[in-house]
Amino acid sequence: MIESRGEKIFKIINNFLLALIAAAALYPFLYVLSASVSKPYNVITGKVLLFPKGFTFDAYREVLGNPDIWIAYGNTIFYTVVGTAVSMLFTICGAYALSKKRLRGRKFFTILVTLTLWFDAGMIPFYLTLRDLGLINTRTGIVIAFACNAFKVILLRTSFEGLPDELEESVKVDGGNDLHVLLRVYLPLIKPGLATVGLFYAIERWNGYFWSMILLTDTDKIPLQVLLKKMIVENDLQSEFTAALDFTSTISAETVTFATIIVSVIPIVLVYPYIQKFFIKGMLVGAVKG
Amino acid sequence: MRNSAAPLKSSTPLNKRMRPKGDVRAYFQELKRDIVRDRILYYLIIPFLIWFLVFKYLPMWGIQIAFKDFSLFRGIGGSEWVGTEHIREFIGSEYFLRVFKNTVIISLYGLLICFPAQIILAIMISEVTRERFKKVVQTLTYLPHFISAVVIAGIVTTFLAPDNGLINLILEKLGMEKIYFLTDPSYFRGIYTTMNLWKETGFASIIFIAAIAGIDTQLYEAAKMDGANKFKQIMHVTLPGILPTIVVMFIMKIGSLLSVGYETIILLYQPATYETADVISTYVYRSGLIDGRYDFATAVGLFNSIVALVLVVSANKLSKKVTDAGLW
Amino acid sequence: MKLKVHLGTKESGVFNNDWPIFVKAAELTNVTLEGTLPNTVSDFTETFSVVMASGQLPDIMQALSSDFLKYGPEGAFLPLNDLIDGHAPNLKKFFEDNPDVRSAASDIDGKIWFIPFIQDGEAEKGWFIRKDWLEKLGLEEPKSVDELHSVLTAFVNDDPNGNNKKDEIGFFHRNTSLGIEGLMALWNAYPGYRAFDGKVIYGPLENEYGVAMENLAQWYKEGLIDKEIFTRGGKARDILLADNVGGLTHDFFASTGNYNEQLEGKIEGFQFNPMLPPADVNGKVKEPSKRDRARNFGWGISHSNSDPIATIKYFDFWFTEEGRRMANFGIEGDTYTMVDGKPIFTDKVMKSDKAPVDVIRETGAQSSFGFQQDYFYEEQWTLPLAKEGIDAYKEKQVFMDKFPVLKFTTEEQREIQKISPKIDTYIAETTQQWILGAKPVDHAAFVKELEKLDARRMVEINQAAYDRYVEEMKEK
Repeated sequence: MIESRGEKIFKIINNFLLALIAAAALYPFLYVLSASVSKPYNVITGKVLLFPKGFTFDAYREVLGNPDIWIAYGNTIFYTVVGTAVSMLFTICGAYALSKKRLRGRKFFTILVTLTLWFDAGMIPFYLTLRDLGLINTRTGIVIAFACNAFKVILLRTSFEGLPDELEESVKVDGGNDLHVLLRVYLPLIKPGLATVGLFYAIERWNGYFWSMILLTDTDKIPLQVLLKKMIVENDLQSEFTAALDFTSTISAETVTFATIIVSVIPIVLVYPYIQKFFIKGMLVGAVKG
Repeated sequence: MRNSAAPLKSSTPLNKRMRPKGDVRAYFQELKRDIVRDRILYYLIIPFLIWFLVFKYLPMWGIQIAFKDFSLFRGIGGSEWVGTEHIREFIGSEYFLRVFKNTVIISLYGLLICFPAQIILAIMISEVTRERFKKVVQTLTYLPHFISAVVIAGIVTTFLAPDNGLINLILEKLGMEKIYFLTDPSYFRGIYTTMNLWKETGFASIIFIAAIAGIDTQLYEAAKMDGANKFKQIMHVTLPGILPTIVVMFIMKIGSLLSVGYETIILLYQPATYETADVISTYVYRSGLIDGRYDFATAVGLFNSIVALVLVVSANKLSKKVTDAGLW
Repeated sequence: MKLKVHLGTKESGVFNNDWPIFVKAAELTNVTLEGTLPNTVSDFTETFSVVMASGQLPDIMQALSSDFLKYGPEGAFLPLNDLIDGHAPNLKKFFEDNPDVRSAASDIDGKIWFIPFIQDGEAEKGWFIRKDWLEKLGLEEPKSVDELHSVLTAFVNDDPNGNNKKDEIGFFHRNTSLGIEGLMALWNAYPGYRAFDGKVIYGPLENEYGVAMENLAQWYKEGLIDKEIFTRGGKARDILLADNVGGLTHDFFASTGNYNEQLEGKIEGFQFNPMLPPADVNGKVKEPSKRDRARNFGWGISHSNSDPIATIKYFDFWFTEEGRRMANFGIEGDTYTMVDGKPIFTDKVMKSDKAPVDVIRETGAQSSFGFQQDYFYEEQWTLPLAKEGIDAYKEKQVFMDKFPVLKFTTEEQREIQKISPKIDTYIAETTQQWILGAKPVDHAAFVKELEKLDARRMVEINQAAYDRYVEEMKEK
């Protein structure tokens, strides 16, 4: 392919700007990483700017040395994988049906779903509902009660709507029903949309902490974030009696916080490149259509 | 593409038009026929709707505590009614107008600066042809989302410190006066918006990157054949291709105009900057939400929800007229 | 018998069934406690709300005093008066001897709803100054406002840290909002309510407040107060002392005294010593801070408790001599031994890598339940320097009377809820603008605006509640 001069200039400028943006975006992460392996004294007094100072792994020793952490990690993976799968199942079914203009009651259903974006019952009523359903302190509760989110439903519905109606016709002509349309033709074509929504659900699951803390009382069901939060709180006691900062200490609330951020972010970062391949420009919609 | 005449889609409205007004029986016959025809769609959507009814609408009876003197012990049913007292307390406060105005302005900053930035970044990333560079840029811009606001705000505070902050050291080098940014109301919105821009743009742009990925490549080929340059391709292929996503996201953003969370603001504001920084949620937070005033918090939430609903319905109407895309 | 207990705070963690002092108490009282909170909880307010909302309360509940006073009369908890009179001689005596604590634990009708966590010792905060800087500059400890002004001026201008840079900071504080409370008192201004001779005043409405602000704004302008006092936050002490730039602060005795140990050898000659407050503009030496007696939480008996009598007897155990000693010092032979009739901490506590209080808490002692602290537990590991400071403050009797914890009627409570966020916002905002120099100090206009926001009504409400408090104290 021959590129014009203009395109070349565009590319150079574009790449240059993106490199700058990426560098700026990398900074907070680098800072957290460096601070997590530095001595608290250097972190607190602002001596860590980019590189670690007073290298120590003690914050990680504290975080990873917690006997419950591996169970919690396992729980988080369970809630993320199973939870996201259930979420996707509900969301795909709902979003697909809502994307069909011919569906009777579509507008009403859509409004019903979107209203939940702005009207929220609040913590106590939601808790009481879950209690009445017997979902307190159960893994099922955590998986089911947070399955759907209107924002993601709308996002996926918009993806479905972007597909041309001719696709559906071609399947129907061959005697397929709506389920065939969804499974055989639509889903493969909206991979970018599916990947986005799946990613969002998974990240929410991964980071979710509040409701797990409220609903789960058995330690062996607790996900990672609840445990990490607890450790941060324990290291951050600021009472009248807590001693002045110990300048020789190798661990503090700050460094533990930073280490927990790294520990919980690494998997998300490692998985992301695999999801990115669904975003590659140029789905050959035309090919299917033809 | 979406407006191309498709027989399946137009069948229902066509029948509707032919049906004489007031013919109830004919209406139900049609309805039945349509439901039978689309039964698979209903099989798919019914569990989904039930989920929303059970987990979202069932708890909503608790919203009544907005009009009650709620006691945790007496429960939602057992607490006494106080009418609109909580909402009046909120709206009647001398600071209501100020926090309302600040909330809207801060949201508008986000809408006018952060939102377009997400789209622009998505387009820029999509234009990269070298796959590895693309992946690296995408991953790096996505990272700050996962660093908690407390940490990012800490970095911002350090950078803006009046004596040894990076920004002030630069100002000093340039021969300018040092500024105590965080106590000056005129800088607050800029700082807050920049921080959000920094933290969230990359992550939020994923939605648009995915939307761009869904555009049919043939359209680009066709545009190129017509001699369109990069800029024209973006204007005439990319943007129209992701317009439905933009519209939907925009309307949802409009709906959250009043929901500026307190978590980030309290990390950056000062009493001296309340004038521009104090928003609804921070004011409610200071009013003792943390003391468990669930009734008052629910009342304020309800007020926000109703405003959001009005805004979304209007924005949706407008957008349907102009772009044919909308939430419903 | 077994009783379920909801107990846990951020400070001392979640109740642990294996805590030795509670195991030992079970042997002595035949009551075994069983915690209901999972040990992974880190947000205690929300978990309390959820337990209350669920309607199934454990036998014993730990809660904030505001929660006891709200939900007690609604029926969630049992009033303790009769139970105490009939079955808890030690508690009864304690409340008789300490009407202020009794008042804090009871509602406006005199019903006692909970047994608070009761602190001991008067001293809370004090002044700390770089003694070595004073010596280096040939200055004396400041004894008056004017002297304080000249000392701070010398600190920031005469390079006491000797690095040839003008980087010294005079007064600094880690509390971004109340840090200047100590300074304000030098002009007899106070951020909150105070009672003088039976009359309640609200600090910001008094003329002294304006005068103090004018002076503080001037000091800030002259660079005598940390420029970043409003943004530096919780780590201000650590940073400024370690960087050898901070000169003066007003903070907790015990923890501030620690820096001398921490920075010994790191900064040559470092001496951050307590000093008596400089005399105020009227020549009076006084300290506005003082430790609360009853903390704002404790434990009570829930309405569904199956054996309130056994429970109150159990509560009473912690007020016996033996119970109190366990609650304060832990287990004899492990964390303390008796020497000349006094519980002395063992090396396990004193020579640990951890803070002594953390070691003590591992036994369950000093955790957040209803008992009476004994200052001797703290005194043993307070550094000599800080202790000298505390003794000097005590000896000179500089502590001002605290404004008591008042009780309001439901109506009053509602009014307060409505008015106080407004006036708090206005005061915080204006005060900060004054000090930063963003606005000239205009106290008359300030008072007018506060009156528009109903601040006078707040004074009335507090006066009424204070009068009731005084009456209550007289009766007992």
